[in-house]
Amino acid sequence: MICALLWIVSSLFLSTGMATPGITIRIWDIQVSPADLPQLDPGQAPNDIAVVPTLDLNSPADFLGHENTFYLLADADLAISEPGVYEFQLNSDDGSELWIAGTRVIDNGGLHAAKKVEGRIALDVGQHPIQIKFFQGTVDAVLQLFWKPPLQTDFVIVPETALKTNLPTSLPTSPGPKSIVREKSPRLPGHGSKLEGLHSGMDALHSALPELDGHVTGMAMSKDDSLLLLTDQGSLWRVTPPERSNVKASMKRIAEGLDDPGGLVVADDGIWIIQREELTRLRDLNADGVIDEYAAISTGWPVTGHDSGTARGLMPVGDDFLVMLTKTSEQASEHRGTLVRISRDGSWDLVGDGLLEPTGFSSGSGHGPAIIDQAASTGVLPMIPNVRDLSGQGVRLPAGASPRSAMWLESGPWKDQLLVVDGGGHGIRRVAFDQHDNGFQGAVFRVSQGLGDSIDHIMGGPEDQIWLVSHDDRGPRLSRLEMHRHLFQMESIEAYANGLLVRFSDSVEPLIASEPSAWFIMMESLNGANGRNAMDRVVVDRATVLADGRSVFIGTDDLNDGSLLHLQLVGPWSSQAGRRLHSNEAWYTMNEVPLRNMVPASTPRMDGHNRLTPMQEAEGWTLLFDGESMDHWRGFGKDHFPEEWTIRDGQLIRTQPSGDIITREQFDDFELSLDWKVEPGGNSGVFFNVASDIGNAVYHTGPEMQLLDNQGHPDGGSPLTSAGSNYALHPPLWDVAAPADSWNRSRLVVRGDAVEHWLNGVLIVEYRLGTPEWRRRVEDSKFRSMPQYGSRQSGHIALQDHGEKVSFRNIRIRRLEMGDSE
Amino acid sequence: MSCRRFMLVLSLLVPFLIGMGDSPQPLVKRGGDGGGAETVSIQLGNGVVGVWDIRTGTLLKGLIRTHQSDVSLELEVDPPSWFMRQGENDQKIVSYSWRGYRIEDGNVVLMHELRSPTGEVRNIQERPESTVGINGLLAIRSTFDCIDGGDGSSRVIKRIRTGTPGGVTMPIATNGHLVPLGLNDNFLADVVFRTSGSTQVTISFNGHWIEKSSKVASGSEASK
Repeated sequence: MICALLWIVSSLFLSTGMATPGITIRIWDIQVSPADLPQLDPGQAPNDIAVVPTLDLNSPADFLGHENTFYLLADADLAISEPGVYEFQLNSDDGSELWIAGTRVIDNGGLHAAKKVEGRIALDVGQHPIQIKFFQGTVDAVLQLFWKPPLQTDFVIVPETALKTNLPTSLPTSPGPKSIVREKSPRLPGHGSKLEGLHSGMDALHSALPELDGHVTGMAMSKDDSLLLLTDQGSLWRVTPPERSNVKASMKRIAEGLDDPGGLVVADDGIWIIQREELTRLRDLNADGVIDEYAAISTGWPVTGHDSGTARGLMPVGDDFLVMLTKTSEQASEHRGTLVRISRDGSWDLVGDGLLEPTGFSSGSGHGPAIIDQAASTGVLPMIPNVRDLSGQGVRLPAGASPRSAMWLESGPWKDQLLVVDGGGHGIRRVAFDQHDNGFQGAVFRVSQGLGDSIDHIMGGPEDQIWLVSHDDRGPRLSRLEMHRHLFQMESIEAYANGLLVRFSDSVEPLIASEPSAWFIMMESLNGANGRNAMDRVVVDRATVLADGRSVFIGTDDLNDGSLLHLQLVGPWSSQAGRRLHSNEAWYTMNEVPLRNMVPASTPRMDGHNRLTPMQEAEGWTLLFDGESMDHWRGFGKDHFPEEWTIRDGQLIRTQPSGDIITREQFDDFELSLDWKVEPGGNSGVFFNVASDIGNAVYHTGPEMQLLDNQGHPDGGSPLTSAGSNYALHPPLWDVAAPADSWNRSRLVVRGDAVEHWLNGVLIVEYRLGTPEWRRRVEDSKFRSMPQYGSRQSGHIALQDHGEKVSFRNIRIRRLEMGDSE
Repeated sequence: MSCRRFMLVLSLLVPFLIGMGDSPQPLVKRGGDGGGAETVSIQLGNGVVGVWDIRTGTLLKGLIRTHQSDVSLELEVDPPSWFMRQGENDQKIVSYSWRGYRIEDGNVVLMHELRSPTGEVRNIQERPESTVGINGLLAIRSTFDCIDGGDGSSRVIKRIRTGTPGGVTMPIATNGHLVPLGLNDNFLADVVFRTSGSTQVTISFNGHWIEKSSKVASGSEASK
């Protein structure tokens, strides 16, 4: 009741519209140092509240006396008087996020030292609610919010004049510690989260660029095989990369004083660069290695009825060049980006428009230019199929992207696809275009992290090398990447009127890929405010693995024009050869649903279900369930198989109360693989080393790999008892369980006293039986009263009847010799 | 302290003030120095910076940068500022194109292109430098060369300022033909280029700016 009254009072207060300049900060003393932005348990008043003029906080006094372990929310309305694309920068120690009108513009999360992360958003004239979330673990708290309005060149603290707050400082506060929602296990990298580290199929050679001034806006290989780097500070550097990693690159500034240069091409007649308003040819006339002629070839480029614009990107097309203009006026205009073709004599022609905020062209040749365009919180990459109006073309990057540079891949499995790098910490992503009747759209996939906080530029080199320049807290860095191994992943997506065709690098397991529930697709309209709108679930009617084994057609009638689809592959995705999926998500830009239909061959018989491949047979696998009979099983404490466990559609299903079942055989060292799914709130388990003659339950002797609906069952609230755990003793490292009613694949490896739990392709638990640490954990658990628990070297495998529906299939096992390894 | 004595002290301090702490500026910088995107700024030596408007090819302003402030003289000439003429009374406006610059032996050479209404193209090179002008005043001197002389029948004319918009007059020296325009308070003049050889124009900055730096005074010869 009190809370309700407070809410009413505060709502009344808020509704009076008594805005004051500045921003309101509220601080909760959470007394723990979380790994990332925490979520407060609801209903807790902050410890302190105040209005500050700007968000420029870097001392305990600024944080209202708080020094460590606190959570902060800052709220205000941002006053925008000029429409356009606004850039923001959050500098924080530890993690922070910036939200504007419900859109996360900056993700600077995690525990870290002071780190600046940038984001951008298109804002119209008016008031826009902003919220900054921040948490401080220990040591040095900093929180600063900068912005760079349209046409400004430098970031400055968002001024008090742009901030107004309605949140009264008279809101209730209360002393004492505040509680946060228990941290969930981090999501698996690549499964809805950023990847971790460098792509495991890449080799990288890094070298420091300590003298580099600013960010790289152009990059090219010179005639003598050195690298040329153009910076936004107006310098052109010649860099000789070292042959070993982590040493300083030799570099020399060969030109300077350039005005906001944004593109670079090396040609026989000189080095061509694009400056803000000039196409310039650079030449070294006296062969001393330094540029001494800066010849202005073309300038002006008046666009009818508008100002000329800042030029970006430089792309050779025959003997001519293409550049893009970001107009300096009419930032809110629909058609503010223009494409100009300039000949070597300086004459020019307008050849396209419809760009929003172009930043450059892709490097590479043979495929025509691709344009990198930043707009609002998305990135757009239209091709230029000789059209004048480029709007409605291309591929959007996911929200929060800040694409800076791209390169065509000339060979290999990703031939004719683009690699795109990002200033927002998203690493390298890959774009696979999909051409339809009226233009281009396509898909985006994650490729690699581990290349600094932001990447300026990427370029292809000889012998399929990839060069890029990135920045992190150690400064700018040049990296040379070489792909030596491709991973199991989605390669491309094609759209049809009746669904999507997803191609993989390797053959997929049909039993997984043909499950509609294994495809989780959300659709977002691109026509809403700020180009974004609410998300809708796409219902997948069917999933068909095509004859090549690598392509899957996802049938749906829910596709809409002007949408961005987010695909997530749910469950135990792996290739038929058992390779783990590199990343389970992709984004598809559906500018237009094509008219073409696909009539895929009907789903092949479930040959993959409850069958062994020749390779598996050769590896010594045996089926414990063939989809039809239960010869390998009996009820625990019974000599027959209980009829409450039924076989239907190739699945072993516990339907009625009956008790656990165990294998007739016993196993010592083995590898067990099985697929399982539980109903919402479901619970089951796989036990091993079970004795049939000791105790009155399988858990009296056998350790258990927990099978659970983590979201719907109370045991999911504790990692120690969540899906994949060694029940009550060892929690999983990651929460990789699929949602209820979705298939999971578990793998249990027991070799001597060493035990591994795998779930959906991820090793999540490792332990040794009988060690002092094992005994200590048992002693601290409910099993301390069971003297035979975990004490056996061999025994039966058991499947648990915990009272809820659970289904199994593809149960196979192979005995291991002690020397066996993967 | 009188204004003149103050300026003398300031001029002695200029070389000291310049370069304190700042990283070296590029010899030539497109954009920047307050001139906007359509400018090029050149370090002319002795702390003097000249800012040219690349839309017109004319000196926009001269400035001395110190830690405390920039001291500048506005020298902008509204277009048109370039002409050609065949005879005494046949002066025609020509279109101007910026063609960039070269760096030769540490000095800057600006490249201008003029195109007459009849299509005649003249390429002009301008070598600006800081020097000592009339009466020992600090000055900017530009040496112009027509690198393709055309057929010799037309002469190039450059319009220059002889005083600031605020009324500060500036002594001009040239080996071309100086033609003041209108009354003294117009502060504009045309320089008719020589038919052969270089044409020099020296704009001196009088005591309202800075007389001279000691370095210049000791190291340079006064202009003609």
